[in-house]
Amino acid sequence: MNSGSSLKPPAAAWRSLGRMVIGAVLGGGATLLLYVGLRRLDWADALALVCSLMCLISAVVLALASLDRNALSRTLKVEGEATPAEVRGARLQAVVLALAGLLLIAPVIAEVLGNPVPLATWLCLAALFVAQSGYNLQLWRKGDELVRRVILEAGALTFWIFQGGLFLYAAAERLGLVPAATAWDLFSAIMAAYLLAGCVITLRRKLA
Amino acid sequence: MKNRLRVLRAEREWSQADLADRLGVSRQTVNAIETGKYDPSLPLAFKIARVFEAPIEQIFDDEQETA
Repeated sequence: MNSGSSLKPPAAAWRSLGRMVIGAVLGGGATLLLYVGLRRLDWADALALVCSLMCLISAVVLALASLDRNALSRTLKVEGEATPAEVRGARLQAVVLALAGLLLIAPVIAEVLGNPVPLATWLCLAALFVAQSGYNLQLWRKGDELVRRVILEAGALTFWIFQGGLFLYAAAERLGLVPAATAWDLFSAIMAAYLLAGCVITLRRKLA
Repeated sequence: MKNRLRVLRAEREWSQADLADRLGVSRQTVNAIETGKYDPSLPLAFKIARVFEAPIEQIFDDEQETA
């Protein structure tokens, strides 16, 4: 029997090979970072690292898909080639994800490096946060009702997951069963909940 | 909720992009409605009815699917 791959045109084969190499590099790098990070960091920093890697890898995958209109249309699950507007939308989403990933990991990296300039680091993070919020707002404003519904549902599910978890932890803390949580612990937890909720909503609507 | 969007679109030989342009939404949204993964808002449902020149109840069916 003749296999489909033997009929594949060279350009498509090279693209497949390129994706495999990029996937291997991203996967290998992420695994190495996780291995080192999970052994040395406390749970909140490790959670921030995992969330950051998820955001950064998604951003790279989306940015690469936006370079090939056929690949992007497959990612978006629509007919034919991706339109210029869809390419712009995918790149905007990639920027938002990349900035979110940086915001999550930057404080951890700063601390690992000995936190030499805390105020300057915080000012940089604040500027990054303002930029990320601006791009996020653009996503909302340019999105249609499906995009807005997904964002709202992810927000609602995040609240439901987080308030439940927070109540249980807060009760355990009051009873002296667990140590007091810091603002960073709570932030890491809420970002993890938001990523989880986003994945659930996106998969439920088969948007990815 | 079931709908006849894909059939109506095929009858007019419109692509998902054609319908998305007429409705002012993305192709992902058209696809999600056609595959039953997303129920449109009431304003969008009315817009769909106007585009296809048909009553809403001829496009959308709120009866539960029988097993």
